Amino acid sequence: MHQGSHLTVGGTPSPSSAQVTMDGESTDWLIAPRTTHLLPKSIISGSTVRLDGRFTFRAKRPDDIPVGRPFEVEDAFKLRGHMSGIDRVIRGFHQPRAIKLQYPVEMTKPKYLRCLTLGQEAVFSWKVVPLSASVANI
Amino acid sequence: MEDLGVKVAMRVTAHRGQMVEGLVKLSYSSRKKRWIYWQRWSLSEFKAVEEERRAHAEPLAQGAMAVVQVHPTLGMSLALSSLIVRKEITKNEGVTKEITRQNVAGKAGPGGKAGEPSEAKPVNGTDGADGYANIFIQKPDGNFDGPFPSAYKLEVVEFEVVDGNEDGILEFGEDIVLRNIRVRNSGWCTKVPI
Repeated sequence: MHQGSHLTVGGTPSPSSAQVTMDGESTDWLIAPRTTHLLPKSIISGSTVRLDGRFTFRAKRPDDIPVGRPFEVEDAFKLRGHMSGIDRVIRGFHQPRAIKLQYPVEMTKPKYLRCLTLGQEAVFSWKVVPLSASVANI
Repeated sequence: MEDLGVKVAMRVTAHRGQMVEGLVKLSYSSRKKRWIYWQRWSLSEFKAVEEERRAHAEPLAQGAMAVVQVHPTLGMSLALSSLIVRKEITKNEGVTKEITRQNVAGKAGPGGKAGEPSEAKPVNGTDGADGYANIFIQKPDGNFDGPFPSAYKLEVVEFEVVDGNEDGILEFGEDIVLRNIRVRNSGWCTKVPI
C-alpha cells in the first residue's frame, strides 16, 4: 500500500431480507408488461448487477392520424422498483428514458395533374423516404 | 478634647473595581490603659491610603464606651456597614481587665459612580465542526455491521432497447424489448486516506 492511497467507503448494501421487485409502468403510448423481476439482495454499495430478465412493452397504434405531416410522438420508458417489507416504491429508482415513436417511412404528397381531358392518361407520383437503412428496399 | 494620638493602620484586603475594602486598626495606649479595635471598612473612589495617620477621639474614661471618629481630614468616608468589635484592656492597681464590646455598624455609604462603558467589541465565534451520522445494520445474530456514512440507493443505470423488427425505428403497434437491464447500488461513496 503506497503512501497517499485511499479507501472507498460507501453506503449500506441493499437489504438482505426485503425483496426488491421491478416492473414497467404504462404510459400514454406504451403498454407495460405484467412481468415482474426480482432484484438480487445485498447489492454492495458501488456495485452493479445485471437483471436476469427482460420487459416487453407494446407501442399503441394511433386512433387518429393527422394528414399532411409526418406523425410521431414522444414518450418514455418507465421502470419502477418496489420493496417488500416496507411496501414502498423506491424513489429515484429510474429516470424515465425518452423515446420517439414513428413510422419507418415517410411519404411526400403525391403529385398529379389538376385536370385531365377525356382519354388522357395521368401519372401520380410521390416519394417514399425510409427512416432506417433496413427498410430501404421497400 | 484631648488629642489621643490614635494610630490608624489600614490594610487593604480586596479591590472590587473602584471599591477598596480592608481593615482599620485603631489602637491607643497610655501608661494605664490600652485599647484596640478593628473595623472593616470600604472606600469608594479610593485614592490613597497612608499606612499611619492620626485621628481624634473623645477623652476616654475608665470603663466608658469609647467612640472614635476618624477625622475628616483623613479624606475618607468609612462605610460603617459592618460590625464594630472593640477590645479594651485596662490596668488598675495591678488588676488587668479586658472588655470586648460590639456595636452594630451604621448604614452603608452611597454607592460609587457608574463605571465607564466597556470598550470590548464582541465578535461572533467560529463555526463548529459539521456534524455527521452513521448507519449501523443489525444482523439476525444481533451484531452490527457498520458504520456506513449513507444508506443504499438502487437505480437503473443502463438497458438496451430492441424494437420488434430490429430496424432501429420504434414503431406504432410494435413490441419493444428492454433487456440487459443493469441496476446499481449508488449509495453515496467517499474516499478516505489509509
